[in-house]
Amino acid sequence: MFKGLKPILYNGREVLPLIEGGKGVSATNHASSGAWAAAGGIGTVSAVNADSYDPTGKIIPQVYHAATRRERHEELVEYAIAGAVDQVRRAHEIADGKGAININVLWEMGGAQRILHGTLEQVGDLVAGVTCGAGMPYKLSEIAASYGVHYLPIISSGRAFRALWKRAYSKVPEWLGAVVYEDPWLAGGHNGLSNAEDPRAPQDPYPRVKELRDVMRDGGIPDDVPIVMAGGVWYLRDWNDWIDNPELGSIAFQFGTRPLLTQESPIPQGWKDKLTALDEGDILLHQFSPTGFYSSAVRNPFLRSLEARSERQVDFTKIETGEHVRQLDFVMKGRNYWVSEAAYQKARGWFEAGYTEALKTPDSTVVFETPQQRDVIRKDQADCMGCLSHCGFSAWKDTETNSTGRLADPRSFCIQKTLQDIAHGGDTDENLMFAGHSAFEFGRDPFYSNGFVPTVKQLVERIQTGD
Amino acid sequence: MSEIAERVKKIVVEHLGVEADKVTEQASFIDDLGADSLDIVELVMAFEEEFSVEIPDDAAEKIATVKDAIDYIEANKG
Repeated sequence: MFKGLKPILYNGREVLPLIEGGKGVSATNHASSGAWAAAGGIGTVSAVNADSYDPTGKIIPQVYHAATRRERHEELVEYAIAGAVDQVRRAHEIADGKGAININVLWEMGGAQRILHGTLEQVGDLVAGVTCGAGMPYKLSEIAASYGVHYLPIISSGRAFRALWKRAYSKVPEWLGAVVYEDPWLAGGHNGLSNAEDPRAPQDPYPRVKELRDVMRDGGIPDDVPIVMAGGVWYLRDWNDWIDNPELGSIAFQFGTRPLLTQESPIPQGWKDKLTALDEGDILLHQFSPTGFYSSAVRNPFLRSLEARSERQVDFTKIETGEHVRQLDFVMKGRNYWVSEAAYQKARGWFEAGYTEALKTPDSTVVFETPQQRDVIRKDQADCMGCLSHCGFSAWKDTETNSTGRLADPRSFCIQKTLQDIAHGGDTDENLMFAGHSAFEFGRDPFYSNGFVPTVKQLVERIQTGD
Repeated sequence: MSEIAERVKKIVVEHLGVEADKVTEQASFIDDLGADSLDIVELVMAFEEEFSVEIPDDAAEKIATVKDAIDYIEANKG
Protein backbone atom coordinates (compact mmCIF):
# COMPACT_ATOMS: atom_id res chain seq x y z
CA MET A 1 0.00 0.00 0.00
CA PHE A 2 1.23 3.46 -0.88
CA LYS A 3 2.54 5.28 2.18
CA GLY A 4 1.39 8.71 1.08
CA LEU A 5 3.37 11.93 1.18
CA LYS A 6 4.12 14.33 3.98
CA PRO A 7 4.74 18.00 3.32
CA ILE A 8 8.23 19.43 3.41
CA LEU A 9 9.28 22.81 4.72
CA TYR A 10 10.47 24.97 1.84
CA ASN A 11 10.97 28.70 1.75
CA GLY A 12 9.43 29.02 5.19
CA ARG A 13 6.21 27.14 4.51
CA GLU A 14 4.87 23.63 4.12
CA VAL A 15 4.57 22.46 0.52
CA LEU A 16 3.99 19.10 -1.10
CA PRO A 17 7.25 17.29 -1.87
CA LEU A 18 6.31 17.37 -5.54
CA ILE A 19 8.21 19.48 -8.02
CA GLU A 20 7.38 20.25 -11.59
CA GLY A 21 10.63 19.87 -13.50
CA GLY A 22 11.57 23.07 -15.30
CA LYS A 23 11.73 22.48 -19.03
CA GLY A 24 13.00 24.88 -21.65
CA VAL A 25 12.34 26.22 -24.13
CA SER A 26 8.79 27.12 -23.05
CA ALA A 27 7.76 23.58 -22.11
CA THR A 28 7.01 24.86 -18.62
CA ASN A 29 5.84 28.41 -18.18
CA HIS A 30 3.66 30.56 -15.95
CA ALA A 31 0.52 28.57 -16.71
CA SER A 32 1.96 25.18 -15.75
CA SER A 33 4.14 26.32 -12.86
CA GLY A 34 1.55 28.68 -11.41
CA ALA A 35 -1.02 25.88 -11.44
CA TRP A 36 1.46 23.44 -9.90
CA ALA A 37 2.15 25.86 -7.05
CA ALA A 38 -1.57 26.55 -6.65
CA ALA A 39 -2.01 22.79 -6.21
CA GLY A 40 0.44 22.93 -3.30
CA GLY A 41 3.71 21.85 -4.91
CA ILE A 42 6.76 23.62 -6.28
CA GLY A 43 6.16 24.86 -9.82
CA THR A 44 9.09 25.72 -12.03
CA VAL A 45 9.22 28.46 -14.62
CA SER A 46 11.80 27.67 -17.24
CA ALA A 47 13.91 30.81 -17.46
CA VAL A 48 15.64 29.45 -20.56
CA ASN A 49 14.77 31.86 -23.38
CA ALA A 50 11.21 32.14 -22.10
CA ASP A 51 8.41 33.94 -23.89
CA SER A 52 7.56 37.52 -23.11
CA TYR A 53 4.39 39.30 -24.13
CA ASP A 54 3.38 42.55 -25.80
CA PRO A 55 0.82 44.85 -24.15
CA THR A 56 -2.04 42.96 -25.82
CA GLY A 57 -0.82 39.69 -24.32
CA LYS A 58 0.62 38.20 -27.52
CA ILE A 59 3.91 36.33 -27.43
CA ILE A 60 6.74 38.48 -28.76
CA PRO A 61 8.56 36.41 -31.41
CA GLN A 62 12.26 36.13 -30.63
CA VAL A 63 13.59 37.53 -33.90
CA TYR A 64 17.19 38.63 -34.14
CA HIS A 65 18.04 41.79 -36.04
CA ALA A 66 21.71 42.45 -35.32
CA ALA A 67 24.46 41.74 -37.83
CA THR A 68 26.97 39.95 -35.61
CA ARG A 69 26.73 36.94 -33.31
CA ARG A 70 27.95 39.01 -30.39
CA GLU A 71 25.20 41.60 -30.92
CA ARG A 72 22.57 38.92 -31.42
CA HIS A 73 23.75 37.33 -28.17
CA GLU A 74 22.98 40.65 -26.47
CA GLU A 75 19.48 40.57 -27.98
CA LEU A 76 19.09 37.03 -26.70
CA VAL A 77 20.01 38.01 -23.15
CA GLU A 78 17.46 40.85 -23.27
CA TYR A 79 14.74 38.54 -24.56
CA ALA A 80 15.61 35.98 -21.90
CA ILE A 81 15.43 38.39 -18.99
CA ALA A 82 12.19 39.94 -20.22
CA GLY A 83 10.71 36.48 -20.72
CA ALA A 84 11.72 35.11 -17.34
CA VAL A 85 10.41 38.21 -15.56
CA ASP A 86 7.06 38.04 -17.39
CA GLN A 87 6.69 34.35 -16.67
CA VAL A 88 7.50 34.66 -12.99
CA ARG A 89 5.05 37.53 -12.49
CA ARG A 90 2.24 35.63 -14.18
CA ALA A 91 3.05 32.40 -12.36
CA HIS A 92 3.06 34.17 -9.04
CA GLU A 93 -0.39 35.57 -9.74
CA ILE A 94 -1.79 32.15 -10.65
CA ALA A 95 -0.19 30.50 -7.59
CA ASP A 96 -2.12 32.94 -5.43
CA GLY A 97 0.11 32.53 -2.43
CA LYS A 98 0.13 28.73 -2.43
CA GLY A 99 3.03 26.34 -2.92
CA ALA A 100 6.20 27.88 -4.32
CA ILE A 101 7.59 29.10 -7.63
CA ASN A 102 11.13 28.24 -8.68
CA ILE A 103 12.93 29.17 -11.84
CA ASN A 104 15.20 26.87 -13.78
CA VAL A 105 18.29 27.92 -15.70
CA LEU A 106 20.98 25.99 -17.52
CA TRP A 107 24.41 26.88 -16.33
CA GLU A 108 25.81 26.51 -19.83
CA MET A 109 23.18 28.62 -21.54
CA GLY A 110 24.50 31.79 -23.11
CA GLY A 111 24.63 34.68 -20.65
CA ALA A 112 23.39 32.42 -17.81
CA GLN A 113 24.76 34.56 -15.00
CA ARG A 114 23.55 37.83 -16.52
CA ILE A 115 20.10 36.34 -17.10
CA LEU A 116 19.97 35.07 -13.55
CA HIS A 117 20.99 38.45 -12.14
CA GLY A 118 18.67 40.34 -14.49
CA THR A 119 15.71 38.16 -13.56
CA LEU A 120 16.29 38.05 -9.81
CA GLU A 121 16.91 41.80 -9.65
CA GLN A 122 13.37 42.33 -10.91
CA VAL A 123 11.39 39.42 -9.49
CA GLY A 124 13.65 37.83 -6.87
CA ASP A 125 11.00 38.52 -4.23
CA LEU A 126 8.49 36.34 -6.12
CA VAL A 127 10.87 33.41 -6.59
CA ALA A 128 11.49 30.81 -3.89
CA GLY A 129 14.49 29.16 -5.50
CA VAL A 130 16.60 28.50 -8.55
CA THR A 131 17.18 25.03 -9.91
CA CYS A 132 20.20 24.78 -12.12
CA GLY A 133 22.07 22.05 -13.90
CA ALA A 134 23.80 21.46 -17.24
CA GLY A 135 27.41 22.04 -16.30
CA MET A 136 28.98 22.74 -12.92
CA PRO A 137 27.05 25.70 -11.50
CA TYR A 138 29.37 26.53 -8.66
CA LYS A 139 28.52 30.26 -8.68
CA LEU A 140 24.83 29.46 -8.35
CA SER A 141 24.90 29.54 -4.55
CA GLU A 142 26.51 32.95 -4.31
CA ILE A 143 24.16 34.52 -6.87
CA ALA A 144 21.00 33.01 -5.35
CA ALA A 145 22.02 33.96 -1.82
CA SER A 146 22.69 37.56 -2.86
CA TYR A 147 18.98 37.86 -3.73
CA GLY A 148 17.78 35.88 -0.73
CA VAL A 149 16.50 32.94 -2.78
CA HIS A 150 17.28 29.27 -2.41
CA TYR A 151 19.48 27.32 -4.76
CA LEU A 152 18.76 23.76 -5.82
CA PRO A 153 21.61 22.29 -7.84
CA ILE A 154 20.68 19.53 -10.28
CA ILE A 155 23.38 16.89 -10.20
CA SER A 156 23.67 13.31 -11.33
CA SER A 157 26.13 11.91 -8.80
CA GLY A 158 27.39 12.36 -5.28
CA ARG A 159 30.75 13.03 -6.86
CA ALA A 160 29.43 16.18 -8.60
CA PHE A 161 27.80 17.45 -5.42
CA ARG A 162 30.99 16.84 -3.44
CA ALA A 163 32.96 19.05 -5.84
CA LEU A 164 30.32 21.80 -5.82
CA TRP A 165 29.98 21.70 -2.06
CA LYS A 166 33.69 21.86 -1.39
CA ARG A 167 34.32 24.51 -3.98
CA ALA A 168 31.41 26.83 -3.37
CA TYR A 169 28.20 25.75 -1.72
CA SER A 170 29.62 25.16 1.74
CA LYS A 171 30.09 28.94 1.97
CA VAL A 172 26.32 29.54 1.82
CA PRO A 173 24.74 26.43 3.34
CA GLU A 174 21.70 28.32 4.64
CA TRP A 175 20.31 28.90 1.13
CA LEU A 176 20.63 25.32 -0.08
CA GLY A 177 16.95 24.50 -0.68
CA ALA A 178 17.37 20.92 -1.84
CA VAL A 179 19.61 18.85 -4.06
CA VAL A 180 18.04 17.47 -7.21
CA TYR A 181 19.37 14.06 -8.20
CA GLU A 182 18.68 13.66 -11.88
CA ASP A 183 18.91 10.09 -13.11
CA PRO A 184 21.08 10.54 -16.18
CA TRP A 185 19.82 7.39 -17.87
CA LEU A 186 16.12 8.16 -17.50
CA ALA A 187 15.65 11.92 -17.35
CA GLY A 188 14.52 13.91 -20.36
CA GLY A 189 16.53 16.71 -21.92
CA HIS A 190 20.14 17.27 -20.89
CA ASN A 191 20.86 14.94 -18.06
CA GLY A 192 24.32 15.15 -16.55
CA LEU A 193 25.77 11.83 -17.69
CA SER A 194 29.48 12.24 -17.06
CA ASN A 195 32.35 10.84 -19.08
CA ALA A 196 32.95 8.36 -16.29
CA GLU A 197 29.57 6.70 -16.87
CA ASP A 198 28.44 4.36 -19.61
CA PRO A 199 25.33 5.58 -21.45
CA ARG A 200 24.45 1.95 -22.17
CA ALA A 201 24.76 0.74 -18.59
CA PRO A 202 22.07 2.39 -16.47
CA GLN A 203 22.65 2.32 -12.74
CA ASP A 204 20.07 1.86 -10.02
CA PRO A 205 19.26 5.29 -8.58
CA TYR A 206 18.92 4.06 -4.99
CA PRO A 207 22.62 3.50 -4.20
CA ARG A 208 23.52 6.65 -6.08
CA VAL A 209 21.07 8.72 -4.05
CA LYS A 210 22.25 7.01 -0.86
CA GLU A 211 25.80 7.99 -1.80
CA LEU A 212 24.63 11.55 -2.43
CA ARG A 213 23.04 11.65 1.04
CA ASP A 214 26.27 10.38 2.54
CA VAL A 215 28.21 13.13 0.77
CA MET A 216 25.70 15.68 2.08
CA ARG A 217 26.04 14.31 5.60
CA ASP A 218 29.82 14.53 5.34
CA GLY A 219 29.33 18.19 4.52
CA GLY A 220 27.22 18.67 7.65
CA ILE A 221 23.96 19.13 5.72
CA PRO A 222 20.99 18.04 7.84
CA ASP A 223 18.75 15.22 6.65
CA ASP A 224 15.75 17.53 6.40
CA VAL A 225 17.30 19.21 3.35
CA PRO A 226 15.50 17.16 0.71
CA ILE A 227 16.99 15.20 -2.10
CA VAL A 228 14.69 15.57 -5.07
CA MET A 229 14.51 12.41 -7.13
CA ALA A 230 14.16 13.32 -10.80
CA GLY A 231 14.15 11.18 -13.92
CA GLY A 232 12.06 8.06 -14.40
CA VAL A 233 9.50 9.02 -11.76
CA TRP A 234 5.96 8.15 -12.84
CA TYR A 235 3.94 6.21 -10.23
CA LEU A 236 4.96 7.13 -6.69
CA ARG A 237 3.83 3.69 -5.51
CA ASP A 238 7.03 2.45 -7.19
CA TRP A 239 9.00 4.67 -4.80
CA ASN A 240 7.32 3.54 -1.59
CA ASP A 241 10.61 2.34 -0.12
CA TRP A 242 12.18 5.74 -0.63
CA ILE A 243 9.57 7.58 1.43
CA ASP A 244 10.25 7.94 5.18
CA ASN A 245 13.46 6.00 4.72
CA PRO A 246 16.05 7.13 7.31
CA GLU A 247 18.87 5.95 5.06
CA LEU A 248 17.93 8.56 2.44
CA GLY A 249 16.65 11.37 4.64
CA SER A 250 14.00 13.74 3.32
CA ILE A 251 12.95 12.87 -0.24
CA ALA A 252 10.90 14.83 -2.74
CA PHE A 253 9.99 13.91 -6.30
CA GLN A 254 10.31 15.83 -9.50
CA PHE A 255 8.14 15.20 -12.51
CA GLY A 256 9.40 16.36 -15.85
CA THR A 257 7.52 14.36 -18.44
CA ARG A 258 4.12 13.85 -16.80
CA PRO A 259 3.30 17.57 -16.59
CA LEU A 260 3.76 17.88 -20.36
CA LEU A 261 0.26 16.49 -20.77
CA THR A 262 -2.03 18.72 -18.78
CA GLN A 263 -4.59 21.35 -19.68
CA GLU A 264 -2.20 24.08 -18.60
CA SER A 265 0.91 22.66 -20.25
CA PRO A 266 2.06 25.26 -22.77
CA ILE A 267 3.29 22.82 -25.41
CA PRO A 268 1.25 22.76 -28.65
CA GLN A 269 -1.52 20.22 -29.18
CA GLY A 270 0.46 18.41 -31.90
CA TRP A 271 3.22 17.68 -29.41
CA LYS A 272 0.74 16.50 -26.78
CA ASP A 273 -0.84 14.17 -29.34
CA LYS A 274 2.54 12.55 -30.04
CA LEU A 275 3.10 11.79 -26.36
CA THR A 276 0.23 9.35 -26.05
CA ALA A 277 1.38 7.41 -29.12
CA LEU A 278 4.91 6.62 -27.90
CA ASP A 279 6.18 3.08 -27.38
CA GLU A 280 8.75 1.87 -24.89
CA GLY A 281 12.17 2.46 -26.41
CA ASP A 282 11.09 5.48 -28.46
CA ILE A 283 13.25 7.76 -26.32
CA LEU A 284 16.91 7.96 -27.24
CA LEU A 285 19.83 8.93 -24.99
CA HIS A 286 22.23 10.59 -27.40
CA GLN A 287 25.07 13.06 -27.76
CA PHE A 288 24.03 15.20 -30.72
CA SER A 289 23.32 18.26 -28.57
CA PRO A 290 25.56 21.20 -29.47
CA THR A 291 26.34 21.53 -25.75
CA GLY A 292 28.33 18.31 -25.99
CA PHE A 293 26.25 16.92 -23.11
CA TYR A 294 24.17 13.78 -23.30
CA SER A 295 20.43 14.32 -23.54
CA SER A 296 17.28 12.28 -24.11
CA ALA A 297 14.56 12.96 -26.65
CA VAL A 298 11.95 11.20 -28.75
CA ARG A 299 13.59 9.27 -31.55
CA ASN A 300 11.54 11.07 -34.20
CA PRO A 301 12.51 11.77 -37.82
CA PHE A 302 14.56 14.76 -36.68
CA LEU A 303 16.73 12.65 -34.39
CA ARG A 304 16.85 9.81 -36.89
CA SER A 305 18.15 12.17 -39.55
CA LEU A 306 20.98 13.18 -37.22
CA GLU A 307 21.76 9.54 -36.56
CA ALA A 308 21.77 8.88 -40.30
CA ARG A 309 24.00 11.89 -40.98
CA SER A 310 26.56 10.63 -38.50
CA GLU A 311 26.37 7.19 -40.13
CA ARG A 312 27.32 8.81 -43.45
CA GLN A 313 30.73 9.67 -42.06
CA VAL A 314 34.28 8.71 -42.98
CA ASP A 315 37.69 9.43 -41.45
CA PHE A 316 40.21 11.22 -43.64
CA THR A 317 43.81 12.33 -43.56
CA LYS A 318 45.37 15.14 -45.57
CA ILE A 319 48.17 12.84 -46.71
CA GLU A 320 48.25 9.30 -48.03
CA THR A 321 48.98 7.09 -45.05
CA GLY A 322 48.23 3.57 -43.80
CA GLU A 323 44.87 2.39 -45.12
CA HIS A 324 44.10 5.84 -46.48
CA VAL A 325 44.99 5.16 -50.10
CA ARG A 326 42.08 6.70 -52.01
CA GLN A 327 41.18 10.34 -52.49
CA LEU A 328 37.61 11.61 -52.29
CA ASP A 329 38.21 13.02 -55.77
CA PHE A 330 34.59 12.79 -56.88
CA VAL A 331 33.45 15.22 -54.20
CA MET A 332 36.52 17.08 -52.90
CA LYS A 333 38.14 17.85 -56.22
CA GLY A 334 41.67 19.21 -56.19
CA ARG A 335 42.04 18.75 -52.44
CA ASN A 336 43.78 16.06 -50.50
CA TYR A 337 41.22 14.02 -48.60
CA TRP A 338 42.61 10.51 -48.25
CA VAL A 339 40.35 7.72 -47.05
CA SER A 340 40.39 3.94 -46.94
CA GLU A 341 39.14 1.87 -49.88
CA ALA A 342 36.07 0.80 -47.88
CA ALA A 343 35.29 4.40 -46.91
CA TYR A 344 35.71 5.45 -50.52
CA GLN A 345 33.17 2.91 -51.70
CA LYS A 346 30.66 3.90 -49.01
CA ALA A 347 31.11 7.59 -49.79
CA ARG A 348 30.65 6.92 -53.47
CA GLY A 349 27.36 5.19 -52.71
CA TRP A 350 26.10 8.11 -50.61
CA PHE A 351 27.14 10.53 -53.33
CA GLU A 352 25.22 8.61 -55.93
CA ALA A 353 22.19 8.51 -53.64
CA GLY A 354 22.07 12.31 -53.60
CA TYR A 355 24.26 13.07 -50.59
CA THR A 356 26.61 15.04 -52.75
CA GLU A 357 27.99 17.47 -50.18
CA ALA A 358 30.93 16.49 -48.00
CA LEU A 359 31.04 18.55 -44.80
CA LYS A 360 34.10 18.59 -42.58
CA THR A 361 33.74 17.96 -38.87
CA PRO A 362 36.16 19.01 -36.09
CA ASP A 363 37.28 15.38 -35.75
CA SER A 364 39.03 14.84 -39.11
CA THR A 365 35.97 13.25 -40.65
CA VAL A 366 33.51 14.30 -43.31
CA VAL A 367 29.79 13.66 -43.35
CA PHE A 368 27.68 13.47 -46.48
CA GLU A 369 24.51 15.49 -46.89
CA THR A 370 22.14 16.66 -49.60
CA PRO A 371 22.65 20.19 -50.96
CA GLN A 372 19.36 21.24 -49.31
CA GLN A 373 20.44 20.03 -45.87
CA ARG A 374 23.88 21.52 -46.36
CA ASP A 375 22.22 24.89 -46.97
CA VAL A 376 20.10 24.54 -43.82
CA ILE A 377 23.18 23.69 -41.74
CA ARG A 378 25.17 26.60 -43.11
CA LYS A 379 22.30 29.04 -42.65
CA ASP A 380 21.68 27.92 -39.08
CA GLN A 381 25.36 28.25 -38.27
CA ALA A 382 25.43 31.74 -39.81
CA ASP A 383 22.29 32.78 -37.91
CA CYS A 384 23.78 31.77 -34.52
CA MET A 385 22.73 34.07 -31.68
CA GLY A 386 25.05 32.65 -29.06
CA CYS A 387 22.44 30.87 -26.95
CA LEU A 388 24.99 28.60 -25.26
CA SER A 389 28.23 29.32 -23.45
CA HIS A 390 29.92 26.91 -25.87
CA CYS A 391 28.25 25.57 -29.00
CA GLY A 392 29.72 22.69 -30.95
CA PHE A 393 27.37 23.25 -33.88
CA SER A 394 28.22 26.89 -34.60
CA ALA A 395 31.61 27.03 -32.83
CA TRP A 396 30.32 30.01 -30.82
CA LYS A 397 31.86 30.56 -27.42
CA ASP A 398 30.94 33.24 -24.94
CA THR A 399 34.45 34.69 -24.63
CA GLU A 400 36.35 37.63 -26.14
CA THR A 401 36.99 35.72 -29.37
CA ASN A 402 33.44 34.30 -29.59
CA SER A 403 34.89 31.12 -31.02
CA THR A 404 35.61 27.66 -29.70
CA GLY A 405 38.66 27.51 -31.96
CA ARG A 406 37.29 24.34 -33.55
CA LEU A 407 35.40 23.75 -36.76
CA ALA A 408 31.64 24.15 -36.60
CA ASP A 409 30.22 20.63 -36.36
CA PRO A 410 27.60 19.66 -38.98
CA ARG A 411 26.70 16.51 -37.01
CA SER A 412 24.89 18.66 -34.45
CA PHE A 413 22.10 21.23 -34.84
CA CYS A 414 20.88 24.66 -33.76
CA ILE A 415 19.17 23.90 -30.49
CA GLN A 416 17.66 27.36 -30.05
CA LYS A 417 15.98 27.25 -33.44
CA THR A 418 14.51 23.79 -33.00
CA LEU A 419 13.33 24.18 -29.40
CA GLN A 420 11.70 27.54 -30.13
CA ASP A 421 10.07 26.07 -33.19
CA ILE A 422 8.58 22.99 -31.56
CA ALA A 423 7.37 25.02 -28.56
CA HIS A 424 5.52 27.42 -30.84
CA GLY A 425 3.74 25.00 -33.15
CA GLY A 426 6.54 23.81 -35.46
CA ASP A 427 6.53 20.34 -37.01
CA THR A 428 6.97 17.68 -34.32
CA ASP A 429 8.70 15.38 -36.81
CA GLU A 430 11.22 17.97 -37.88
CA ASN A 431 12.28 19.27 -34.48
CA LEU A 432 13.95 18.03 -31.34
CA MET A 433 11.33 16.68 -28.96
CA PHE A 434 12.90 16.29 -25.52
CA ALA A 435 11.25 13.66 -23.30
CA GLY A 436 12.10 11.40 -20.40
CA HIS A 437 12.37 7.64 -20.86
CA SER A 438 9.03 6.99 -19.18
CA ALA A 439 7.10 9.04 -21.73
CA PHE A 440 5.66 5.85 -23.23
CA GLU A 441 3.64 5.49 -20.01
CA PHE A 442 1.23 8.11 -21.38
CA GLY A 443 -0.07 5.40 -23.69
CA ARG A 444 -0.40 2.79 -20.91
CA ASP A 445 -1.40 4.69 -17.78
CA PRO A 446 -5.20 4.32 -17.40
CA PHE A 447 -5.32 7.89 -16.08
CA TYR A 448 -5.05 9.09 -19.67
CA SER A 449 -7.49 6.62 -21.21
CA ASN A 450 -10.15 7.86 -23.61
CA GLY A 451 -8.02 10.88 -24.39
CA PHE A 452 -8.28 12.32 -20.88
CA VAL A 453 -6.01 15.31 -20.33
CA PRO A 454 -5.94 16.33 -16.66
CA THR A 455 -5.64 19.79 -15.21
CA VAL A 456 -2.47 20.30 -13.20
CA LYS A 457 -4.56 20.10 -10.02
CA GLN A 458 -5.96 16.72 -11.09
CA LEU A 459 -2.48 15.48 -11.93
CA VAL A 460 -1.05 16.54 -8.59
CA GLU A 461 -3.95 14.89 -6.79
CA ARG A 462 -3.48 11.72 -8.82
CA ILE A 463 0.23 11.60 -8.09
CA GLN A 464 -0.49 11.81 -4.37
CA THR A 465 -2.50 8.60 -4.55
CA GLY A 466 0.61 6.75 -5.69
CA ASP A 467 -0.82 6.18 -9.18
CA MET B 1 60.44 20.32 -17.77
CA SER B 2 59.86 22.16 -14.50
CA GLU B 3 59.03 20.30 -11.34
CA ILE B 4 55.62 21.98 -11.27
CA ALA B 5 54.90 20.84 -14.83
CA GLU B 6 55.81 17.27 -13.87
CA ARG B 7 53.48 17.32 -10.88
CA VAL B 8 50.64 18.89 -12.88
CA LYS B 9 50.93 16.21 -15.53
CA LYS B 10 50.99 13.47 -12.92
CA ILE B 11 47.74 14.77 -11.43
CA VAL B 12 46.15 14.97 -14.87
CA VAL B 13 47.18 11.41 -15.74
CA GLU B 14 45.91 10.04 -12.45
CA HIS B 15 42.71 12.00 -12.51
CA LEU B 16 41.62 11.57 -16.09
CA GLY B 17 43.07 8.09 -16.52
CA VAL B 18 44.81 9.05 -19.77
CA GLU B 19 48.15 7.92 -21.18
CA ALA B 20 51.05 10.07 -19.96
CA ASP B 21 52.27 10.78 -23.49
CA LYS B 22 48.94 12.38 -24.37
CA VAL B 23 49.36 14.96 -21.64
CA THR B 24 51.38 17.47 -23.63
CA GLU B 25 51.46 21.10 -22.57
CA GLN B 26 49.26 22.05 -25.52
CA ALA B 27 46.63 19.39 -24.75
CA SER B 28 43.16 20.76 -24.09
CA PHE B 29 41.50 19.06 -21.12
CA ILE B 30 38.14 18.87 -22.88
CA ASP B 31 39.00 18.50 -26.57
CA ASP B 32 42.10 16.30 -26.30
CA LEU B 33 41.94 14.56 -22.94
CA GLY B 34 38.21 13.80 -22.79
CA ALA B 35 37.51 15.75 -19.62
CA ASP B 36 34.04 16.99 -18.78
CA SER B 37 33.05 19.97 -16.63
CA LEU B 38 33.06 17.85 -13.47
CA ASP B 39 36.59 16.60 -14.23
CA ILE B 40 37.76 20.19 -14.66
CA VAL B 41 36.42 21.30 -11.28
CA GLU B 42 37.99 18.28 -9.60
CA LEU B 43 41.29 18.94 -11.34
CA VAL B 44 41.28 22.56 -10.21
CA MET B 45 40.65 21.41 -6.64
CA ALA B 46 43.43 18.84 -6.91
CA PHE B 47 45.85 21.53 -8.12
CA GLU B 48 44.84 23.78 -5.23
CA GLU B 49 45.54 21.03 -2.75
CA GLU B 50 48.78 19.84 -4.29
CA PHE B 51 50.31 23.30 -4.65
CA SER B 52 48.62 25.12 -1.74
CA VAL B 53 47.46 27.74 -4.19
CA GLU B 54 44.03 29.30 -4.55
CA ILE B 55 42.52 29.23 -8.03
CA PRO B 56 39.52 31.56 -8.01
CA ASP B 57 36.53 30.83 -10.26
CA ASP B 58 37.44 33.44 -12.86
CA ALA B 59 40.94 32.03 -13.20
CA ALA B 60 39.68 28.45 -13.19
CA GLU B 61 37.42 29.20 -16.14
CA LYS B 62 40.43 30.25 -18.20
CA ILE B 63 42.33 27.04 -17.58
CA ALA B 64 41.70 25.10 -20.78
CA THR B 65 45.04 23.42 -21.46
CA VAL B 66 47.74 21.72 -19.41
CA LYS B 67 49.96 24.73 -20.08
CA ASP B 68 47.31 27.12 -18.74
CA ALA B 69 47.33 25.19 -15.48
CA ILE B 70 51.12 25.10 -15.23
CA ASP B 71 51.41 28.83 -16.02
CA TYR B 72 48.82 29.78 -13.46
CA ILE B 73 50.40 27.71 -10.72
CA GLU B 74 53.91 28.93 -11.50
CA ALA B 75 52.74 32.55 -11.39
CA ASN B 76 50.69 32.26 -8.23
CA LYS B 77 52.42 29.71 -6.05
CA GLY B 78 53.63 31.35 -2.85
